[in-house]
Amino acid sequence: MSAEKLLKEYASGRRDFAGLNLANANLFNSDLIGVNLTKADLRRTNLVFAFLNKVTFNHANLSGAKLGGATLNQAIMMSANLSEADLHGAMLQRVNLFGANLSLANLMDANLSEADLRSVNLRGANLRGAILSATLMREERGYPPTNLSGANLRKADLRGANLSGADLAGVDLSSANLSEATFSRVNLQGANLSGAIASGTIFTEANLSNANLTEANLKGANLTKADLKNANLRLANLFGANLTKANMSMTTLSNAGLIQAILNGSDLSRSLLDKANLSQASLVDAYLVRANLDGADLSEAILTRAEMSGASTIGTIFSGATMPDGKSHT
Amino acid sequence: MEDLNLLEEVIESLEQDSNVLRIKRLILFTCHDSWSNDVNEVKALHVRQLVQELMTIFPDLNKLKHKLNSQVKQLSKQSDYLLAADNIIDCLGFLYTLRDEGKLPYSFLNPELSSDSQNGSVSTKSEATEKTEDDTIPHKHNIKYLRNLFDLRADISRNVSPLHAKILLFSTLNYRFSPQERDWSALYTYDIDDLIQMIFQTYETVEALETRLTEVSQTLDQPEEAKRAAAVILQAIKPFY
Repeated sequence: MSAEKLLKEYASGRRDFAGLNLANANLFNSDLIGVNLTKADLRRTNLVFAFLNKVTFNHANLSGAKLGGATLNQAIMMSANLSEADLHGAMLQRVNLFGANLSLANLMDANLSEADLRSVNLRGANLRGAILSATLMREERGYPPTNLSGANLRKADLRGANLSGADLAGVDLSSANLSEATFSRVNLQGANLSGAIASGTIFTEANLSNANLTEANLKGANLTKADLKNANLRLANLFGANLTKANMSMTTLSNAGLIQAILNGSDLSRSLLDKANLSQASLVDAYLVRANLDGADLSEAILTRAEMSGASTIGTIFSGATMPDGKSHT
Repeated sequence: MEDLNLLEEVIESLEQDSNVLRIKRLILFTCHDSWSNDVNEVKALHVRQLVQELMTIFPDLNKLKHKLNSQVKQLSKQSDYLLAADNIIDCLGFLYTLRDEGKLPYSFLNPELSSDSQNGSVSTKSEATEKTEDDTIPHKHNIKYLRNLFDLRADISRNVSPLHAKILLFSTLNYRFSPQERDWSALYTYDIDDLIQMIFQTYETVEALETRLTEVSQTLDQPEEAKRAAAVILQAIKPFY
């Protein structure tokens, strides 16, 4: 069907256009609110600035479609194919994209707040500056987890989002805002979180091995049992963060702020804690074998039963600290 | 360009902090090495004045951080004061950024000089433009400032198609952009946050911005949508001026 015919039929009240072939059609700035385009062929269709609120696109093929600036609020796009689609600056609030394919799609500056992104494929997608606050990406039993590996999420807004179990290997989250988001069991191996805001973020059992967290703000974050092996947390702010049983073997924590942090039972073997501030931190049962604590501040820290053989402590401050044998350091 | 609203907001948030007495005591101790146990005396101190003094005596945020830490070390109730110190740095970090961007009133930064002179903003602005590549990592202490920027983006993108807002901002700063154009690479280079930063650097007052946005919106392909975008942007951005 041609674009003109479609708009004519729409004007006369028709809404059901399921299975239609509209590939390459020009529907720039069109009003198609509420239509049913289930299983329609919309490859490379021009829908820039179109009004598509509440449209149904389930299983539709929108591969390569141009949807820049389109309004898709509350659209239902389950299992839709949007690979390489252009959604630059589009409105997708509360959209349902369950099971959709958005690999290599362009979602720069798009607004996806409160969208359902469970089991979505976003591999290599461009989400720079995108708003993903309160989105749901939690792993669902029986479905593949949401995959964002290699995606660009620079400066993205992920406040309050739920990404439990998602795959974010190698993502760029530099300068993104992840406050109060849930990243439990997320794969962030090799990810870039440099300068990210992650205060109060939940990273329990997350894989952050080899991740770059330099200058990240992790104040009050929960990193219980997280894997931070070989990660770089230089100059990061971990005030009051919970790192109980976290694996920080060979992790760089030079100049990091760990005031009042909880590191009970954590593995800090061969880690770099030089010039880190661990005042009042709790390191009960911590494993600090061959850790570098040169110039670190451990005043009033609690090191009860901590294992420190081979640790370097040149210029380390221990005033008021509870040493491994339980005695107080003068 | 003065951010009186943001400055007042920061001062207000310190005044309202449950830890305010400790915060005031700590600032007093840091500025004058004098400790006050008199609750009434501490209550009578004004946060505004204390913050002003602190910023004057410690123009370098890192040096302030070190000084605060060393002051806390001298206290007996370190635990309580560590949190106060952290809150001071969070709030003041924000003010230091505003200062570096020439957005603090001259009278605030130089209380002893005449408040008639508003030329201070020019010199602080030139400092801001000298920023090097090292400054590309966002201000790690300026959490409030960054959060406000995220909220600003969310406010704009909630009420108008982000692409309409982006085209208007881009056209205001560079050249008139038409969606009919084939080459969108220029628009892909900047994200909305980048464009907002450039707006702050280019337009000193919200009135100047309003005039320009109105002018430009009339020249675009879809002037009605551009007009709406202009209104949304102005409302969201006003508190920053």
